[in-house]
Order: sequence, then C-alpha cells, then structure tokens
Amino acid sequence: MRERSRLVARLRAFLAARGYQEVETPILGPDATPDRHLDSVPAAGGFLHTSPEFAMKRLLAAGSGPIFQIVKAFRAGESGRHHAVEFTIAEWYRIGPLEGLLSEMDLLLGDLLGTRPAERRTYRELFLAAVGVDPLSAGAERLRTLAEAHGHPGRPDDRAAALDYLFSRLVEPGLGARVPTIVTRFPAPLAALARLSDDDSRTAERFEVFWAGLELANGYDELQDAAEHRRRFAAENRARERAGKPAARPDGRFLAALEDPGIPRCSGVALGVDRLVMAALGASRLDEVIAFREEPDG
Amino acid sequence: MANTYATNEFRSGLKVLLDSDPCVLLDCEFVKPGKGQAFTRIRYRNLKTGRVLDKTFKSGEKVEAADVLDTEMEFLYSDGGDWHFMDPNTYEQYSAAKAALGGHEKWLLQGMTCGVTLYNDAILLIHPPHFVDLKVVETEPGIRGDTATGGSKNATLETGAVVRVPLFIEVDETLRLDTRTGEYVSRVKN
Repeated sequence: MRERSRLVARLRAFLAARGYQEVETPILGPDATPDRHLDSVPAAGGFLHTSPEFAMKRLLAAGSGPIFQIVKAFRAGESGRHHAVEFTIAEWYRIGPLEGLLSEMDLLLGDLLGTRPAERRTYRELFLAAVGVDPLSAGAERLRTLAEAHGHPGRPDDRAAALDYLFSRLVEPGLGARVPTIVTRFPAPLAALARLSDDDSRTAERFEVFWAGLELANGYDELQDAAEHRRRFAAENRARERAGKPAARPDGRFLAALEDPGIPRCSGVALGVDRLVMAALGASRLDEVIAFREEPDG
Repeated sequence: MANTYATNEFRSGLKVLLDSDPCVLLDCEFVKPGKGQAFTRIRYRNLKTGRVLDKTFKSGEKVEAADVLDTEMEFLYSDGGDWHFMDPNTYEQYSAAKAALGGHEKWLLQGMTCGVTLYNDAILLIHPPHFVDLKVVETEPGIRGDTATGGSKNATLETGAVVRVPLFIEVDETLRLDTRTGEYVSRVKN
C-alpha cells in the first residue's frame, strides 16, 4: 500500500509537471461499451464505465488541452491473476501525434520503475520472429489454422482473433524481459480507436507497453474521423451479436462531439495502475497489491 | 443433464471430463490479451493415464463434471486377475483391474486401508499408504558388523515385493517401506 501510494503520487507529479490537467468524468453512465471483448457492469439502471476514454475525449473536443485521470474502471467477468473486475486506470491525452507520447512514456517508466530506456519493436517484426509468418500479408485462413494448431479452442472467428491469440501465446512471453518493450504499429484489424498509419494502411498507430511479464499500457494516435468511429462501432456490435452478446448503443454525446467541434489531433494512453504496482514490487498476483479484493462470484 | 462447470467456476482440484476421461484441474488462469478475447488456460492431469496436459478454453465455455470421489477402502484379497476392496462404512465390495493398481499391487496386504479414487462408482485408481510395514520372508543371511558400510541386498516381502535392504536385515523382521519410491526406510520392532 505504501508503494502504491508512492507510485500514484509520483505519476500525478510527473504528469502535472508536464502540463497535464487532472480531470474527473462520470463512472456511471447510460451506455455500455460496444467493444466486442468488453462487458460493462450494469448499475443503477445504466452501466459503470470500462474506461474514461469517451468522456475524456469529449473534454478534448471542448478544448481542454492535455488532461489526465486516475480512476476506477469496471469490466464484467475479468477476474484472474492479472485481471480484476474493479481496477484502477491512469489515462492521459496529449495534443499531437504519437511520438511525443511514446518518448514521454519511456521517461515515465524510468521515473516510476527505474527501468532502462525501452526498446521499440513493431508488431510485425516481433510476430515474424516468434511465429514465422507475416501478420500483415498472411491470409486470414492461414492465420486461423495456425492459431488452431497452437491450441486456440475451435477456429478463431476472424483474422483479428487469430492474430490476438498467436501474439499472446507466442510473442508476449518474450517481451519486456530486460528493458520494457513498446510494441508499435498494430495490424489494422486490431486498430481499436487508433488512426491508420499514414504510410501503410495495413497498420494502425496503436501501441502497447510490456514490462516484467505484464501488459502495462495501451495507447493510440487517436482516430478523429466521426464516420470511421461509427463504422468501427458498428463492426464491434456485429461481432457482439455473432457472439450472442447484446449490442451496445454507441455513446451519442461522444459521436456528436467528434462531429462538432471534433477532437484535436491527439494521442492517449491507458496504464493499469494495479499492474504498475505489481511490476514495481515484483508481485505475481493483483491480489498482492489491491486492498480488500472482494469480487462477487460469477 | 450432467452437471457442468463454466470457466469462471474452474478451480484447481476440480474433477471434470476432458476428452471423455476423468481429469483433475491442477492450475487455471484467466488470460486476456490486449483488447482481445478472454480465455481460460488450464493445466490438468488425466486421472486415467496420469498425463499432465494444457488446454485453452474460451471464457464462458462449459465442461462436464466428472463423478469422481476420493475415499478410503480396505484391501480384501486378490484372485490373480482382480483386486478386491471393501468400503468400511457400507461393507460394499469393489473390484479393481490391474491398471488401477499402477504397479502398487506389490504393497497390498490383506486388511490394509488404501486411498481409492472412484469414477462413476467404479475403482479408477488405488493409492496405497505412503508407508507400509511388511515382513521379510526371504533374504540372504545377515552379516554382522557391517551396518556402517551401506551395502545392500535383496529381500522378498510377505506381499511378494522385492526391495533393496541393508545387509543386516534378517528373515521375519518387519520393515517400513516408502511406496512412492519403493525404498526401505527402517526396521520396525515386532
């Protein structure tokens, strides 16, 4: 608990010193997330947020400038060694493209965890080295078969599912061993809400940070186009329906803000604070760093 | 409808049917890469073959529970083909084929209490006590004054098992044996 308090204080000081303003946005709202792999926790007739992303982007659209938030988020059904239904996210956005955020991320890790400068690797080079297949050009069928051969239960639904599985099974275990690994340029099907790369539409400007066997952070050069947001939300909802999950109405106020006035070119990242504390302490379970972990069963 | 467990109910020690064999879960872990799909990865032992294997499930998948019960029974006798046991509470008798003994038949003495794994109310596995006391029925004559050199010889026990014992052991002595290693532990005073 002392280490947790120290890290959070230091994280706040780091961001404040770089001109980020701390904000608070609602945890409880009317809409569930449309993300195909996330399930919102229902509460009080609405839902608890799975991350403060949409609300913070509305602030950005309103001209907030750089902002950060350290807040609890909730994801139903996620309970395990590295997952808790209720967990703490630190999320921040800076104005401008990804590069500034990446180098700042590296400084932050050094400041909080005493790590040496991170190595940057593209998703493609890591995947090629560990799987032996090009994640951008290999056919979907090839990737799905490969995932199945490596123990995926049944045939993956699509290219994205096959890539995710193979990456987590074959690539992740080798990441962030001596220095933190920042994985950049995810394949476009895994773009989430990142913009596609200017020089290659097969990749997206999404990154993840791995250190000490943990996936610590996930960030984007943020997608600005409202119509593309609608298309991606619709794709998520189609995937939800195929999986027998209820579709979720996309956040109307967020979409309205994207259209008018729109969000500035900005980059944002979400950092798992509980995992950060785990990494600092060398803990192997979230339970070791969370006071009173008391999840309901099921 | 058979009882089932969903992945969020997986715990180590749970007995389930996998590949239509009874298995026990040794370790389970919730994994969820990045913004990807959630899985539950398990390590399990097939109780029939003893093999330890890994398997990945989609979160929410269900598996059938295996009707496996760990209990204790008294060994009655062997008729050569089968080994017969009795539940001391119900006096019900069960027979086990050689495969269920896993080579442990050589430790079994009439009246001995053994651990028994029942699957669908039939004996799946026999677990002899970790230590058993058995009498020597045959061995070379003892050599006095040689207790410190650590030499050894074969001794045949009353159950037919042959074990390596120190040179000073004589016929009719009772020995304590470790059934997990098959090794001599000590003499037991008669």
